[in-house]
Amino acid sequence: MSRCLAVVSLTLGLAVVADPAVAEDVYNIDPIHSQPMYEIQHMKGISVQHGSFAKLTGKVTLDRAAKKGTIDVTIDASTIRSHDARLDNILKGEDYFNIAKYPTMTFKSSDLKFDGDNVVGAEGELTMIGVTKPVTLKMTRFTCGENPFNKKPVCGGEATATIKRSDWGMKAGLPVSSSDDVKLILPIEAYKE
Amino acid sequence: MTRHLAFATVAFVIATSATAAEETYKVDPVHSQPNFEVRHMGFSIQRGSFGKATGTIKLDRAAKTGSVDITIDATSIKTIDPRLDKHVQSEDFFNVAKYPTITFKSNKLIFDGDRVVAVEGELTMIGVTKPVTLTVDNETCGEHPINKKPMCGAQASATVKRSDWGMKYGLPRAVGDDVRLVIPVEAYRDVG
Repeated sequence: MSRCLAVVSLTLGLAVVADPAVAEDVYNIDPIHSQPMYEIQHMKGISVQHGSFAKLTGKVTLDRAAKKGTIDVTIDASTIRSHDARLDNILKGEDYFNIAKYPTMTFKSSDLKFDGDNVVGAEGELTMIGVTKPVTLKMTRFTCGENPFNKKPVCGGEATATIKRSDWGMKAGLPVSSSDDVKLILPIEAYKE
Repeated sequence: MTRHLAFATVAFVIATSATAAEETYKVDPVHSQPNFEVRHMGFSIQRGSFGKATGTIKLDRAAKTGSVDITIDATSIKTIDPRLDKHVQSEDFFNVAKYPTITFKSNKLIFDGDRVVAVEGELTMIGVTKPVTLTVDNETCGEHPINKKPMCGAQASATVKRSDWGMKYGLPRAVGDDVRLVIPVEAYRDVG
């Protein structure tokens, strides 16, 4: 029995020693190809309008053997582009993103969901206009390989979630002008460090 | 009897054509900007839009007929990157110097009951005209809740192969051939 325990301890010890060898890969997000998009219903659902944020930076870490990883992304709130330049200015104002006070939004996760070797989701926290709330991202089309041109190892995919903006206290224009439900569509390309 | 029938027929035709008024709608350019989605190197889906689209939609719900006539300003394309915007305006893609507009025209609206569910038409870009069927989701008419004007809205979508129009740059690896078009539509009824 104690020999068994010793073996277990030794194994655990080896696991600890082996841990640095189970390389956690670090990926830097390609800002150009990872611009967060959103979709929102206009005028009680008469149409769906789209917009995006042009600048974000961030890292993804992946440990496929241990099936864990992290996401840490910062979005420049001032780079919001809607379907209309006049609306952009309204969205940057106090009623919506209040970028003078809250110039960045962040999404952080240390809970990536795997299905086999594939990342299929992430549970994390989205901070915007000073409020932090949990958000679960669903990941589709997660693929890793080599960029056919620069030959660098890259992973890509698309993460989506639908949130209620009122959960963050963003209530302007509710319920008629624009909906509470906002669908986030996050294309991701990230290069291995 | 014969006279009655003839009278009835005439009356019916007049009544039908009088009540079955074709309504004309003007597209709201701000809320009807065509979006597109394309695969990038097989790793992600990238998106862009055209900032300017104008046009007219005609609807006769009783007769279940109608037409769509849209002109898109090809120079108003916005992608993920200003450098790419310049490239897609060049001869490699939209060649906007030679073909400044893209058009979509249809005389065949498909109805399911009272609702428009598809539009069969022709998309002309870079000088090539090919058939495209738009799927129409959530076609809804009513009154604009704020300005009270009568309007309709919908979401139209289709997937086209850009190579069908001869746009082959970046195939097959850099940019996918399949392009998904996602077009929000808001149009105000022309009440004269």
